[in-house]
Amino acid sequence: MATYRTTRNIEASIIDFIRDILESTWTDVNVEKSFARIYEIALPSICVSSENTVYNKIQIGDNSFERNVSIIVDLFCENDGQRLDLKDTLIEGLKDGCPYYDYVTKKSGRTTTVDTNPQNGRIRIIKITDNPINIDTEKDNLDVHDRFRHRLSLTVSLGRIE
Amino acid sequence: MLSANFTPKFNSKDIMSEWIKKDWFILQDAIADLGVQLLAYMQGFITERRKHPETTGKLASSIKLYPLGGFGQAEVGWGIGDMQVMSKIAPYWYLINFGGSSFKGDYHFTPGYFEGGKFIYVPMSKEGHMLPSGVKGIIKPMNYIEASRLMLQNELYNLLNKMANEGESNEAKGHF
Repeated sequence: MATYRTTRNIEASIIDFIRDILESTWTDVNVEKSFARIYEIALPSICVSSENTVYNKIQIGDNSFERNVSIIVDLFCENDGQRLDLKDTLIEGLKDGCPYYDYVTKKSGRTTTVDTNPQNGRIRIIKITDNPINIDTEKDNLDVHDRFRHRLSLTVSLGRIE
Repeated sequence: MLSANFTPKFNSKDIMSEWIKKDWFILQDAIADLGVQLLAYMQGFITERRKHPETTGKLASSIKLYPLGGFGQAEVGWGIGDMQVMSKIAPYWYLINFGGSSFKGDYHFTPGYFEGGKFIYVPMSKEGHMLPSGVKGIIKPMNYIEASRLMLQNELYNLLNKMANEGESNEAKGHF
């Protein structure tokens, strides 16, 4: 049995939440956390990864801090329309925040799976920016995964002192 | 429904401008300093994460600070990185930040893979979905722009917070 730490919990919670958002409105969208894996699977796909974190001290003389985590959501689509619709679906779903889960895994043989994930608060979305990614090459010459890309950059916080 | 609604009779813009006026030169200096710090952060971020230590460092050096406004002007600001300059010195800056396949269309691409020294041709489907598994040359995104943006957001927030607190404490002491 093992437990995820905070950053990994945030990342996994957001992946699960995005899967939930898409389940009711979209079909066949892959949500992955490995960037390289995206290039091996069919479109449309979404790659979620947690990047940098900044820690703000709460007060002088105290080691407590509040963390703000940067989450990158990369969208890989089949066409421009799908790219815009997918990013709007995600923004509409994510803007109000999402549940934060504590993940506990269990090992059975060589495989590790999530055993339980009780909710332990909410993830607040502090800021969302979205940008199209246009690699400066003719679309026909690009890998099919790189032709219609979009990026959502989220700054999230648990709103708690650690 | 019993409800109450209060509208404050002040304009938050006026309050901000009143406060900024008092500490304008301090703020101007701090913002200019923040630009220098952020440039160093971004360059350091790239240098620390480069895959090959023998690389030229062109990307980090292509990112420069461009001050806007200055002393005696009612403006302070800066920009970091000029896309035209970066594209000239380090045209791969975009791919390094956002990641992607390093495949370029300057030559013909035959889909397939090598197995035991023999090339196995795999035709691409009409939709272009077919790609041999384990495609090589995927550049993982470094996200140096996003990392710097997060840092800027945070530092700016801390700076304004600090100045507001100092302003309040000076006001309490009767210093202006």
